[in-house]
Amino acid sequence: MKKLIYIIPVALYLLVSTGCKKDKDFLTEVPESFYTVDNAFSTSQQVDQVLVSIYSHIRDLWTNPSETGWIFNMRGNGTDLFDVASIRRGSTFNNYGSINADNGTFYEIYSTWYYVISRANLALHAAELPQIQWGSDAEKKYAVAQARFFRAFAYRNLGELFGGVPIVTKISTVPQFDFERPGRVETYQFAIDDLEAVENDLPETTTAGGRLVRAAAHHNLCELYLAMGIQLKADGKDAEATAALTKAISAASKVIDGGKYSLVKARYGSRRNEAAVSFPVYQGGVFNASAVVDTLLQPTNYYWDLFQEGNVNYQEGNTECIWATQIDYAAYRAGDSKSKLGYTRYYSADLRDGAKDHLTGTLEDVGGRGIVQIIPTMYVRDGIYADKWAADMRNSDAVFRRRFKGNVASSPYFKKDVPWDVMYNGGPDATTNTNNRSLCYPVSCKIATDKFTGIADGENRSNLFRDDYIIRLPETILLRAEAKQRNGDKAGAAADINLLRDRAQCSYKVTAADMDDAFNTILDERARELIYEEFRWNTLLRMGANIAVDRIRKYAFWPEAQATLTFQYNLWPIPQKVIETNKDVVIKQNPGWTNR
Amino acid sequence: MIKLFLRKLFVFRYCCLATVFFIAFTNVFGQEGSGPVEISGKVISANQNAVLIKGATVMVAGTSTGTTTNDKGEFILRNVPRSAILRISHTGYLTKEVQVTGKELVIVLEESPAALDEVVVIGYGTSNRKEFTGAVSSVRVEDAPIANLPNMNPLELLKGNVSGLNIGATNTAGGEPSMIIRGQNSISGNNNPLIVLDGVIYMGSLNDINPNDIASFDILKDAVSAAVYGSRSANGVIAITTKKGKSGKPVIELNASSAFQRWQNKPVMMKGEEWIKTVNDRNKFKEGSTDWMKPGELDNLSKGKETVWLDETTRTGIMQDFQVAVSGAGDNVNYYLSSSYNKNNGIVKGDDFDRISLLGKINTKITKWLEIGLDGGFSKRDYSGLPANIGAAQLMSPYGVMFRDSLGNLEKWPYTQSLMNPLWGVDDGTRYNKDLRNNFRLNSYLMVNVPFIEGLSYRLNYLINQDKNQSGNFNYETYFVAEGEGIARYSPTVVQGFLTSANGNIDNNATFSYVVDNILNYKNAFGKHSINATAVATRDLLRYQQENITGSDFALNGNTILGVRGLHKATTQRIDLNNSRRANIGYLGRINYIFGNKYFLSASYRRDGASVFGANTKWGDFGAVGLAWAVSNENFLKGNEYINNLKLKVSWGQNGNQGIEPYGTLSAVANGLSGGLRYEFSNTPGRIFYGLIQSALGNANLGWETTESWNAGFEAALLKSRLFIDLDVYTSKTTDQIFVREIPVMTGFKTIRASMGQVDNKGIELTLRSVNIQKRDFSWSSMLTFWQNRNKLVRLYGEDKDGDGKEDDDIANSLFIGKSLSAIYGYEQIGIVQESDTAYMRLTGAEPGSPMYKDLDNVAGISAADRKILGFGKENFRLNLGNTFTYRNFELYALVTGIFGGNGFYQKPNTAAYLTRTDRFNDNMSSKPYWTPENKSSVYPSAYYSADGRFLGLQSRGFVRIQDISLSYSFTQPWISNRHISSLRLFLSAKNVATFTKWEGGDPETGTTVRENTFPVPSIYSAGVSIRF
Repeated sequence: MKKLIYIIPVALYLLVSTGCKKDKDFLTEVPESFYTVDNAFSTSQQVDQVLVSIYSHIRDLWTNPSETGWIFNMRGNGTDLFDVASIRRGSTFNNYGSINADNGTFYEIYSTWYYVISRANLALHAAELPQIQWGSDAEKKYAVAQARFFRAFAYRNLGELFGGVPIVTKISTVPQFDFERPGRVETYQFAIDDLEAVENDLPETTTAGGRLVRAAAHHNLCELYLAMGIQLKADGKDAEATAALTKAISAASKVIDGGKYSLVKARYGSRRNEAAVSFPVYQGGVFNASAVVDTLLQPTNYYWDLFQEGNVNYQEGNTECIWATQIDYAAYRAGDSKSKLGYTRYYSADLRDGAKDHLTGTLEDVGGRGIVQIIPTMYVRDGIYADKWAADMRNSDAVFRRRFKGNVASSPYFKKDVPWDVMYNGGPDATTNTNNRSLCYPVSCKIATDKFTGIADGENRSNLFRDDYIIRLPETILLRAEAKQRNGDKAGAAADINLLRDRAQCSYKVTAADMDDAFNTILDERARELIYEEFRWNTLLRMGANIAVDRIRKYAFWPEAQATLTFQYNLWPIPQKVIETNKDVVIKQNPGWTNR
Repeated sequence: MIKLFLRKLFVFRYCCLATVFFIAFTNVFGQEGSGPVEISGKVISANQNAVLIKGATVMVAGTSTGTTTNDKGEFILRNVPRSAILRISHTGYLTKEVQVTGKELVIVLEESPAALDEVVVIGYGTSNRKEFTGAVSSVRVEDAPIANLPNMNPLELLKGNVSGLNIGATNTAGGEPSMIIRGQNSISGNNNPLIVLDGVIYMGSLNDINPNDIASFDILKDAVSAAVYGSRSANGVIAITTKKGKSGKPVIELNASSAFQRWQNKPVMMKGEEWIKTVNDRNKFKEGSTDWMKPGELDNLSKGKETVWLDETTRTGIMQDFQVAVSGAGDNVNYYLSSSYNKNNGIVKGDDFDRISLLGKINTKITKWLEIGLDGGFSKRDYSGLPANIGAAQLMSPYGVMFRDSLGNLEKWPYTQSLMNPLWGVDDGTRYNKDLRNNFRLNSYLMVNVPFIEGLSYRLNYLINQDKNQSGNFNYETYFVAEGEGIARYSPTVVQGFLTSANGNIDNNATFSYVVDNILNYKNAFGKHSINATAVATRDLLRYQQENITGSDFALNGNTILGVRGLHKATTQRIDLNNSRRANIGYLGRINYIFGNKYFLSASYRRDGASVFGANTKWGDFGAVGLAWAVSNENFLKGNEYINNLKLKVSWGQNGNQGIEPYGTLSAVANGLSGGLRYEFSNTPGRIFYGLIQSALGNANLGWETTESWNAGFEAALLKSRLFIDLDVYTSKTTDQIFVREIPVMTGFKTIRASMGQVDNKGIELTLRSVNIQKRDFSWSSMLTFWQNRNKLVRLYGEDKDGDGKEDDDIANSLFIGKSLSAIYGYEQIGIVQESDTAYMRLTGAEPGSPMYKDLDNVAGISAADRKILGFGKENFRLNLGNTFTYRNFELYALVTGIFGGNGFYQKPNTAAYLTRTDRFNDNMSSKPYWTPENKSSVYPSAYYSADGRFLGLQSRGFVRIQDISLSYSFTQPWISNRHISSLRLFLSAKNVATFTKWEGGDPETGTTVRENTFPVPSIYSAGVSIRF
């Protein structure tokens, strides 16, 4: 009881000691364990960190490490190239009963590019802060150039997909509800101005693989002028269109004929001495030495070299890599869990389910551990290689693997190539066959390998650990071909296409007569060259007219697309949420999407 | 098994020990009594005539031994313990307790102004209920039947008992229910009422307070009651008073109960054959095909072996509750010591909780003018362990493979989907989880009755509360077993490869808070005037510090034998720190004035500062005034036979709410390792660069959410105090509400914390209590509570862009002028598209079997213009009825609660109740008659239809529930007192006995939709005993 007496002075002391602080000091908020925009920037290093966040963000959009549905859609699901497998039809992007301005995919894609724009604006804002000390003028110029490149890059993507979108050039400190929507041409022009302002501040080459170089700006300028030319022509401004297309050609030529870049036409890199790739056949799909009953040999080539680990960056001897997003296995192990290419997991075939009587397991012999998040349509796996188009390095066994030896002992094709007719039509009925066809398809060397990294560390043939192209020279060539054709130079266009076909040792070379007005030849060639690389929605919507809708109706894997795509469009809808949140100014919906 | 035994042994030993301790303790204080005695006496009224009172109830306190007085006001009680306390009660009189001092007693009862004699807590002091002008509800817990119920959390005691107070359902072991007073005041800010514990603001967790230690609750609902708490009062105040010693012989109390829990209406997923048919239908597979199943599944199919995963992941829950308390009071000292142990193994396997709590309270008058008091509390809560995944259990293939071998070892991947066995990691040693929460609290006060000025006193409160929480997780390499076929995946050499993935974390966090109140009080009466004035200066501070340590990749270390304690051996290690601080200052003045015991006035003014707001908006002012008129004290009603008490009251006041967390006004940045943005460049292999982004758009102008409200009501006791009515109506207007607003993403941000115009609330609260039957052997009393709250958005941003003369709605944020909050805005479904609806299909691209929406804008096709308000998430009203019956030594209490919808209220989307299709092609689902060309359902879409973002499947959540039942029996037989037991009571009780609702899926109150991964609200059946010595 008496002890309580002692508590009184102690309590009083505590009171006095805490009561000292002035009211104002007592209520002031000072964050202790995080930064705010007011104290985040004190060195030029931190300006670069904003750029790093954009590099990282763009890698997420390319490699989709979290298997996000809307990124699959952005990467081409629902176009003429890709659809969903029978077991994933809930994630279809081809059923127009549920594709409208409310669809979350549009809002997410629209938003993701504005995140890039706002971060680029933050970097530009931070670069000019008085307290930032730069090591050299060039260092600052390069930082600003990268930021403006990213901003232009985002506007190009938005312009191609959604048409004209509001131009934002400053960081936001207060919310704004009155964004005005300019035309598509103005949007492209803004991006062009950004790129032209900084093209000379970007270095021709860098030691750091993954950093932006000047050719990336030229490639984008080509695409932007091409896109602008298409839109101007659609608007009836033929003369301006021609001028734009001419600028597109000249921007591309700076890359193609500039001397820094050339198509790879000889073996190079880490595996140049391997004449063939060898896949063990694991009986029953079991991973151990005694289960290996056979091997499948496939002769390799220089096109295959382009997609091997350690061969992607320009710094590694790859003369067609203009810009690649960076994957680093050591960093992956050290905590950057997004530094991986999950392509084998989500792009590769599911032969173990689609052809289970003959093929099983998830090992190299069946193309790794594919879970068929999106699948190539019949057009892109077979259609573009029909008949005279078949002889093509890009259709060779090592590059576009069509040979799989049976590994199920009871199969008549045990240790023999399983014929595609058996995979496609071996089921008891048409429905089963269609489903199996959605699970069984050729496996590109861009999405799987014979040598998976990290097996000893517990990796399970889901991920590749190579860098991945964002811009590769052949796409620049294809853009120039399209610009030439649109400018009336079909022979020039054919010649450009043949640059790629020569390199791929194709037996058939295109002629001016092949360059049809629906751009089928260019789109087919893009599919052959750029499958799993191209952003097909951007291409189709950039081209305008009815190209997207016509091709989706023609090539979609499942019948819903044809049944439900009962209207015309050549731009995605402006997301309903964007229209509604921008409440002070009306943003007009794109054609085809009103009353849907 | 052995673990379980040891645990039980521990509980047993703990109880024995505690009992011995307390018995020894009481022997020091206790007085020896000898055998029981016979007592007789008479009961008279205190008024001038000293009338004899017939029919008064005379009870031995704490027991159900008792009798009633005869026509001459006399009574005789036999077998009464020598030192017993008698409790004498009669309607219209104040209940009185007297110590048995001799064998002949004369007991004088004071006339009561109808049971309104209680003391209520009003903030920085107490008041007599009859003198108070605000709306306060009080719930007595001590010795009330609700104390018999198996409640782990104090709030559960209040459920359904207080009009205007919504207490949610508890669905996890050791979980805390939600609480809201008088509807939603803040859209995104905190809606929790302020908790005041024994007179001081309490910033800890209610789970650290043992329900058995609570004597009573006072719920301060209106502005004038709560305004003294200024900035944190807008959501109301729940004041908790803990038990204290009672004068007389020290009391030792033992309470013990055991309960079991069941999952009522456990969802039933499809059985094997139906599931196969549905999977084929929803994927347009060939009828009867099974080739999409895994070999293990096909094997189970051929053997006819099905697994009901929900049965495998759940169990009969167990609850145990033991408490020992000792209390007593003398002339200068009052003490209460309590120790308790609670345990709950929830319905879901692995959902375990136990708690030890200790409470010691002592206060003493040192001199005539100085009093000091000290309460110390400790509680240790243990939530360790990982519960089974009942979400996965509802998705699993019925033919999924449970075991990988014949030894009963689990298969991690039961079927073709990347969905783990719901029991994986629960009890198989592949994961480890620890979650301990320690709480220490010390509440001390000093009170000085200034000797020279009569009625002037000073009180100093100092409360500190310290939480020290430790949690940790570890995923062993065995956890990461790969998908696929064959036992080889589990072989040590393969599993060893996953050492790179093995990872864990330790999280230590501590919250320290203090409250200091300086209270100056002056209380005096001058003739018919009586004054009670209070001045308060208060400060409080809450500081949070978190250290989270993670470690991953043990390949280079070689094994994970040390588990979570070996994080420092991991190749990749990381520390995250998170600190925050929140401070408040308040200055309060309050005056209560009474004239002639008929007219009552209270007025208060508080100025408050809070750290969480922007620099220019930190301070706010809050005033309140209340008036009451005791009509029944006027001459014209005095002695009225029918109206025994009537008090009218009206009040006005302003209350504040802190709608944001610390630093919520700032533009935060995410950067560095913890920022989550990483990248590499090829010239620096293995080096990770960190990105920097602005993660939130700050808003420096965010300030108080202010609520201004009116309350009017009356309290009445009628019909010889057999019927009591409390009625309150209120209106309130809240301005500058803080909410998360969707903004144009062109800013780089999708949302911002913003404040918004004005929301009005109005409501009615009614409590009816009646004594229906009061006989010697049998009594029946009832309590009915009803309350309804409506809110209306009055003003938003004050803009009229469309020029229609009315303020614009904010559709993007579902905010509509003139409508309630929580509006559900969307497409009105009018059945299902049939094959004959060709025009509709052509316009919309919909297929037969898809939901059909109403075309409202008369423009062909369904577009955003076809949306409307479909309903509201808010409830319509609540109605609860409690009945208490006593018959001889039995007491039965039953409470029925209901939350009602209607008029579009209390709706919620429940898409899975209608859909068959899911994201994965072969998930399980609940059975439903989906649309097919043969079965043209107009309710259920086809199995092939996948949700389109427009489909909502709205359902009403309205329900009626048999909430509580308690039956107790008190022993009064002679053997009781022969063993020095002053009371012995046995009870059976049940909670959540049955629910009547049209809502499908889980519990309607938690709004658990079909197939949602939310734990069920259990039904609890309990038996217990309470002994006092």
